[in-house]
Amino acid sequence: MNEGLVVVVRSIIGFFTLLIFARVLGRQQISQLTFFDYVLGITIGSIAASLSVDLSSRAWPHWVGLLTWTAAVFLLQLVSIKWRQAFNYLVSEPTVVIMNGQIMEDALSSIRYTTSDLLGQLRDKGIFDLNQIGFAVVETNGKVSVLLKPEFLPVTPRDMNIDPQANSLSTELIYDGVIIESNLEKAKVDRLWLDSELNRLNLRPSEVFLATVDGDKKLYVDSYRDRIV
Amino acid sequence: MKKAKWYLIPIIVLALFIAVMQGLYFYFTPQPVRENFPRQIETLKKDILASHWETASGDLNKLEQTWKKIIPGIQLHAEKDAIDNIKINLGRLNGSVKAKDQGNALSELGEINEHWNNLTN
Repeated sequence: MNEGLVVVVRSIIGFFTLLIFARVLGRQQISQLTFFDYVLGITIGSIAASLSVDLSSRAWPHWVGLLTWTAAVFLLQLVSIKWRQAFNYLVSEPTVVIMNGQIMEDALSSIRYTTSDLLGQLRDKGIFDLNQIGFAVVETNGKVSVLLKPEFLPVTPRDMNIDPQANSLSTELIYDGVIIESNLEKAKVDRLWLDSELNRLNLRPSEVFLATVDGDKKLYVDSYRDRIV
Repeated sequence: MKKAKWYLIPIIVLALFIAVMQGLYFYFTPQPVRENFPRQIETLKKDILASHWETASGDLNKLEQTWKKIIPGIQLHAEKDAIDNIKINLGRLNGSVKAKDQGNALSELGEINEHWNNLTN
C-alpha cells in the first residue's frame, strides 16, 4: 500500500469537501453561539483530519460524518430563517441588560453574565462612563451592543444641517498590473481615460499594483514603487 | 446556464469523491485480475486439501502476485489494516504450506477469504 499517495488523495477529498460545504453554509455566523461555534469548528476539523490521515478506517464514514454535521448546521440556518420561535428556543434571544441607564440585574443573572464581563465589553467599545448609556443589549454570541444617550452620540452632517456628497463604492480597474476590462464598463470609464490618468502620473498599467475608481471618477492608484516619506 | 454550471461543478466533484471512496478506482483494476483472486483462493484450497504441496506452493505464488496487482486499486477506499491483514495472512500461509501444515494453511486461507469479502462488500 502506498500510504503517502492514499493520504494525498484523502486530503484532497477532505480539503475540497470542506471548501464546498463551507461555501454552501455561506457567511452567516453559524448559530450565534460563540462557544458552540468553537466546538463545532473543532469537531468538523477533527473529522476532516481523521478523513485525511486515519488510514486505519475507511474514508467514507468520516466523509459521512462531515456531511451530517454540515447538514445539521444548514438545517439550523434554515430554522433560524423560517421559524423564529424554534430558533429562539434553541439558541436564546438577545437580552437587554441596561435600560435608560439602569442595569437590569435580574436580566444579567438570567443569562449568567457578570457585571465585570459587561463592564469589560463596554470598555472595549470605549465606554468608560455608564451615564452615557441609554440601552445595552447582550447578543446571543455574548457581545454587547450599545445605544448611547442622544446627547453623547457623535455629531453627524445632518445635525449640522450640512448636505454631504453621496458616496459610492469603488471599482477595481487594475490589480497586480493587469487591467480588469469588465470593470471598465461597470465603472463607466474607458481605456483611453485610464491611460490618460496613468500618463499624468507617469505610470504604465504594468507598474500599478492597485487602481480603483469611485462614482465621481476619482482614481486611486497604488504603484509597485512605494515611497515612504 | 452560467448559474447552472456553478452548481454543477461542486455536485460533480462531490459525486466523484463519493465514487472514489466507494471503490471506483477498484474497477480500474482489470476484471480478470479482480476475479482471479477468489478463484485462486479456491484452487489453493483444493491443493491443500489434496496435500499437493508443490502445486500449492506455485499457486500461492500466483495468489501473492495477483494480490500485489489488486492493492493499487483497493488502497484508496479500504482500511490499511484490512490490506495489512491479508498481507500477514499470506505470509503465514506461506509458512504453513512450506511446513505442509494442512490445518493452519486452511485456517489462514479461510481468513484471507473473509478479509477479501469484507474488502469487496
